[in-house]
Amino acid sequence: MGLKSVQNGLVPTRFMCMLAHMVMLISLLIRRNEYVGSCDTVLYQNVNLLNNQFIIGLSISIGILAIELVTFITGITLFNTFQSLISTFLHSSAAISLSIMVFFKWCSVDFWYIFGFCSCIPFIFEIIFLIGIWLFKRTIN
Amino acid sequence: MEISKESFSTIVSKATLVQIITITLTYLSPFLIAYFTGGFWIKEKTFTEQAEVKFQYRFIALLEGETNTYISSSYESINQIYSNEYRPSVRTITELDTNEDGINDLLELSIFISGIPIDTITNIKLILLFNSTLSAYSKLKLESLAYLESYNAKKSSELNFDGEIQFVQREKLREKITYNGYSYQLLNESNIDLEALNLDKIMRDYNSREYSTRLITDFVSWKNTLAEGFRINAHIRYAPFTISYVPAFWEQFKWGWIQYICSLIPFIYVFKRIKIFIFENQLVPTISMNITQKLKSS
Repeated sequence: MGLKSVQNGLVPTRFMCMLAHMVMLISLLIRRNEYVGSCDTVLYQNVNLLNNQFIIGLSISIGILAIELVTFITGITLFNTFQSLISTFLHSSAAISLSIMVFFKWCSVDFWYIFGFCSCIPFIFEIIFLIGIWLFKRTIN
Repeated sequence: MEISKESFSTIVSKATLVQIITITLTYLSPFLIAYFTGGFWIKEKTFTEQAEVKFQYRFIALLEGETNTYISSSYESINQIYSNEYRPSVRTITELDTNEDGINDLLELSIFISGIPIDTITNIKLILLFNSTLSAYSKLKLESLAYLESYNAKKSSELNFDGEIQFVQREKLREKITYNGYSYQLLNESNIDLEALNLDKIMRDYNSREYSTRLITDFVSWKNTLAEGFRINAHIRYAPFTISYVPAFWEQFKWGWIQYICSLIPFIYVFKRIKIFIFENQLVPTISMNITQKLKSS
């Protein structure tokens, strides 16, 4: 089973998608002023608050992604095909939507949708699998 | 040779979830793309039509000097009401079809009002009445009005102007409706009383119509001719009307369908490949069997 997931390209795909997501998050964190600045100044008057929220959101998603990468690389969820599927799908969507955010200079508030759908959901599934493996002694597959 | 395989699973399973998600994403994404790139349905379109404009040979001219006011009109009753101010007029009217498409597009109008002393007029108000008919998309008959007001500091006795009749609409046209409500006469010739002869009221009534025409003057010039009487020379062009309309259901549906199918095809292809990948590699637990196996077992 393990060899097959490497052969059909699922493991490298998942790894690439997670790394792409990570790269996008870090580059957003470095140049976050552009996205805070492109918000509607009438709706969001407190720019400092927006900046802090954006930093917090980006840091949390980077942290979550790092935990996922660790559990992935250490092999705990490496060969779990369903988790790989979810992770690949959502992290690739995240990378694509973040690149759209860079292209069209979205407001930093819109980042929270990407955070909710593409960072939190795979992390919750990851935690569920970890609990299943550690507490209920399920198999790694 | 390609071996067709079928995958089986229970109703509540990860495979069902994958199926539901792929089907929703395949058929919903084209809608989202269409909606976020300028809307799915076409709400408004425009076309241009050379309307059939016909001068009614009806006019009212109001000439004002420093002390006197003169009226000349084609309405018998108005001339009678203002018999002291009335001056008779001679009109020369030619309607031409300059681009030879069978519809008149130029009005050459010359009105000579006699009985006015040399060089006394400083202000003129002129109302010309037309009948316009649109018929390409839906039938619209208009009694349209061209209004000119001009003021000159020097006392003069001749006015030349060039203008264009343009269509003004406040509501979009709809398909296959005959609009009759705009062909009534602004001034009823047989029954004119003093109350109806209020210029402010006539113009306000006319301008509050949903569909009307305006006279746009490109150029107005006053002249001294050292002759008695007052002469008005006009060149009025009937410009093609630009009409915006609401497309009918099938026209909207056609463009919506084209948009939907065009963006659906790549989504179908991509999600089909993804589904094949998922089920062939057993990423979600299913029972896979060849068609031949299935036939044998049944």
